[in-house]
Amino acid sequence: MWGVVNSERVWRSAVFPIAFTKKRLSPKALFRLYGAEESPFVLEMSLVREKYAPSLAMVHAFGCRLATSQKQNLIAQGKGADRIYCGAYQLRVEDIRCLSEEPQLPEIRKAEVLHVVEKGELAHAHMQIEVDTGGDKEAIEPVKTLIVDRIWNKSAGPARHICPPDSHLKDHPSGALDCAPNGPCVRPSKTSVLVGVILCFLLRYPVLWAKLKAESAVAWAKTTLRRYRKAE
Amino acid sequence: VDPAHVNSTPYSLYPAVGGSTFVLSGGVVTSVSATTNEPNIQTESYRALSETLNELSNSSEDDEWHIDDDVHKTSIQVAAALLDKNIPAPHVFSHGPKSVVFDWHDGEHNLYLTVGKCRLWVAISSASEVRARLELTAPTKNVAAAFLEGLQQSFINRPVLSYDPHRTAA
Repeated sequence: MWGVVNSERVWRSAVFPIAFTKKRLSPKALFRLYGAEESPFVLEMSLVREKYAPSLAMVHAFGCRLATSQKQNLIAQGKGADRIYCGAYQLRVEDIRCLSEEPQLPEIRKAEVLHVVEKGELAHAHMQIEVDTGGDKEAIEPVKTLIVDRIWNKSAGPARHICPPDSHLKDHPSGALDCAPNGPCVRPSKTSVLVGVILCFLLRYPVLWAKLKAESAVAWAKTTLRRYRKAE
Repeated sequence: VDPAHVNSTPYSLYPAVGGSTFVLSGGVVTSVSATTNEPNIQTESYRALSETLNELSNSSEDDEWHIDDDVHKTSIQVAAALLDKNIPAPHVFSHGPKSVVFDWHDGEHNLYLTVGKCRLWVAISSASEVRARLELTAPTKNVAAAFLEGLQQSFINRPVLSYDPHRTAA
């Protein structure tokens, strides 16, 4: 996990079940919060870190891969491939961290954005929010609602997109994405995209790759040492 | 709110108010008015709402969009109560199996009704701040019925904001 600075921007991919896109689904439905494995009082949401996906093409490529992966999971479970990527909304990291200072949300202990590489996606980040409702698990639900409300009100966009495999769809639901309250998304200049891509490929990606390899090597060494001790 | 009563068909939620009887057919809310033959303009949007709730509920349990059966039953009952009060149909979203959220927006403010298995919470927000929040089904005082009355008046007089949950709770 690597720290993300306040001035950075992150993206939330809009992946929907196709069946829901024409019904009375609120646009806030895509800002889904999950209880973390370690505790239901830790809420998580997957994001794309713009620093590692500095162009819209890279953000959309991430979203298309995400939808494809979800479709494959559904097919593997014997269900229909009912997922579609429609675009992404943009957020400032600072706005997410400020959630812990929201006066009407005293339950929020900490709001953080962490760079967590997941399923080989180097640009993947996590929004992680710790809440304290005095042990009342049900009381987390209205807190989630207001977290989603705050995030939606701070989001910009959408940047709409049609993934190549979905281009045959007549009424692609990307056109139905609601405009976010914070106006259009901020598109990085061509120069900054070029510099970002060069830096990613020359510096950041190799460093991340080396860190991942080092982490897996440490894990392997620990396992081997444990086996060796058991064998002794 | 008692999810156990939702499956009875036809189901009369507030028979004393408006004289309406709700028929729940396959989880879809339809309103049969006993006092007038005029078509209910809300019915179609509420039908779409209940279809969305049904799809959330019918998705498999390991699906990230799935909502629990009890939450689904309660949400249908709350939708029936909103329709009874002729309150415009909300949009809906969920964040996991334990709740669904009814969402109204008047261009400036949002009103949220978070529906759990047997608890309801309301919140009002603007772009810049959360203005008010309240549990309607608190153990000490259940103000769900008062909320619905207040909400009905709000939508008649001025959408969303004329309802003050703190005033009602007092």
